[in-house]
Amino acid sequence: MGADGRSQVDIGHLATLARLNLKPEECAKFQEQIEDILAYVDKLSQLNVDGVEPMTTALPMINVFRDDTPHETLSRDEAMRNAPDKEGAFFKVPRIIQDGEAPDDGEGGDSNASK
Amino acid sequence: MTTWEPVIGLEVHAELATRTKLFCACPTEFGAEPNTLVCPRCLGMPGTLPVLNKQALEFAIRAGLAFDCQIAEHIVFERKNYFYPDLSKGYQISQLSQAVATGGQVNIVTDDGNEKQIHITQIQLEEEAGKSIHGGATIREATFTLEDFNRCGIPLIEIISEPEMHSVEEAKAYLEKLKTVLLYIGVSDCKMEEGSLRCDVNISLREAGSDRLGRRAEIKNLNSFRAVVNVLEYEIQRQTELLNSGGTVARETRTWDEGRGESFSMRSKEEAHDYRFFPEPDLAPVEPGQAWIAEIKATLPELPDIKRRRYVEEYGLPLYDAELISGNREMADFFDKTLQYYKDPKAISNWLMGEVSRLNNQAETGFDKLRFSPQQLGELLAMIDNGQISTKIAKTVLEEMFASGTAPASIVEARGLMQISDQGALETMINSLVDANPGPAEDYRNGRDKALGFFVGQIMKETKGRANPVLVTDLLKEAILGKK
Repeated sequence: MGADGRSQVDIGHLATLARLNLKPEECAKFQEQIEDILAYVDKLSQLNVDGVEPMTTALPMINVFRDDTPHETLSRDEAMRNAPDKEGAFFKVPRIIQDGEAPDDGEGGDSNASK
Repeated sequence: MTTWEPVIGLEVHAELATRTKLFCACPTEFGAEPNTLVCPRCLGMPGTLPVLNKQALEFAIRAGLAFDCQIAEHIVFERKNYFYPDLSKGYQISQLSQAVATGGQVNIVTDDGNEKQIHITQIQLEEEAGKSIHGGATIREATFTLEDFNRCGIPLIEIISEPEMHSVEEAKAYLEKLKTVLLYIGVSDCKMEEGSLRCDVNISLREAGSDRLGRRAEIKNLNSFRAVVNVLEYEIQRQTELLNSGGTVARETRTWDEGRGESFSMRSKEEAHDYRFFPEPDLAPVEPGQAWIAEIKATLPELPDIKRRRYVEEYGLPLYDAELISGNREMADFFDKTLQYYKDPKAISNWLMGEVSRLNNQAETGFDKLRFSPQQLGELLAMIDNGQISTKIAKTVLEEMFASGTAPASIVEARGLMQISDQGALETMINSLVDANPGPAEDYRNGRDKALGFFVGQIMKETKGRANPVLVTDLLKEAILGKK
């Protein structure tokens, strides 16, 4: 929460996570919109939820299972029809690791404590 | 100089032995043509919905029970969001705080022969990613990557240990025990060469005796026990040198280059981990219920720890034998069954660990594929006890049983291998032998015990090894010393 009671949103970080290239004016616009949404949802925190079980789903059911029996699969041609790039039997994608990127150390914390 | 103690935690991923994937009904077979075991669901096409494979859940519960875990009453799947090309949907369906099983432990036997418990944090059910083939010698040198989604969506359990291992040996013992139990309960084939069992290693160093944990490095996706051992040895040395020279260990994910025997910091396009977990809205929660859990528990086989203790306490086997036999389910089954036909556990253990294992190794086969039966092995051992064949001949007979599955009595009869215990026949042979060799006989009378070996050898040669060796020795002594 910021001083004005609004959530502080790091729109640049969110955009990176979502692989979106935002222009500066889009950043400002979405920043405001997302903060509005969060402020609205934040009304829920005004409710007293003592003794209320956390809700993880809106589905009114449990134990929806499937038997372990194989079905027909797609043919490879069908499976790859929309692929932007392919090579032989494979989907082809650009290289994964780029030079000069920061080491991946963002998981936070500095101990062996389990995640 | 500070003494550093390693603190090791392991996350083991075991693919489950189901016929179909976790959330769709594509087959899970290994080695199919790339991108042929796929459907709109596991390719992450919009509009598709996951449905949970009941067998996969049962296997996860089974594993939880085998490691003494608490099975959750209310199980929830979570969506873990990240982009990586082997993950078709842009998220992995995994578990977090309401996983299938929590608590529990793996019992290991340490080098000094003591038992130690390594606690399990939790066992979670999740889906595999696809397989990436990097267009270069290593991931760091790749210019492009090829993706095969056959593996994407195969069920796996991730078994997360507490950071309670403090040496490379303990980590290795933990992995071996984990694999043994998973094979016992039949939930995974654990074929490391096919990637069915993989391991992430967390390792930090702390001052010996301190409770404070150091900063850890995580090395992902190791697919052999050898690689785990190599990584741990390498990281212990790397981190020791860093700390001793006043540096700090970076908290980072590293990749292991087995060829070079070094680990490298992963400079990954994968952004800082911010997985934004939330409960998977496309899946209903699961409540397995006590009745089903009890039903699964009732089908668990006798587990290796219990078997090992039974072998020592009931049968008086040495700990070494008990550990070795109980560590291999097929061998243990064969041992247990042979005991129904033959009553000397140590003799059975000797033959299984010795000759039978030797023949298995030679033929690159296992105890589950033996052509002869436990009953036939029992018959063979009884024939030795009855003096019908010698131990040496029994080895020859076993080789034929191994090759053909023929009953030992038939082999002995067909090949005329029955031991000669006919005293009269042996005496005739011995007398003429001693008469023909006065020199060695005199040597023996003069106290050269080795000379007796010459006579035994000659009799064995003459009888093609069939003479009863104990009887021959007795008769020889009598014949030579009696002629003084």
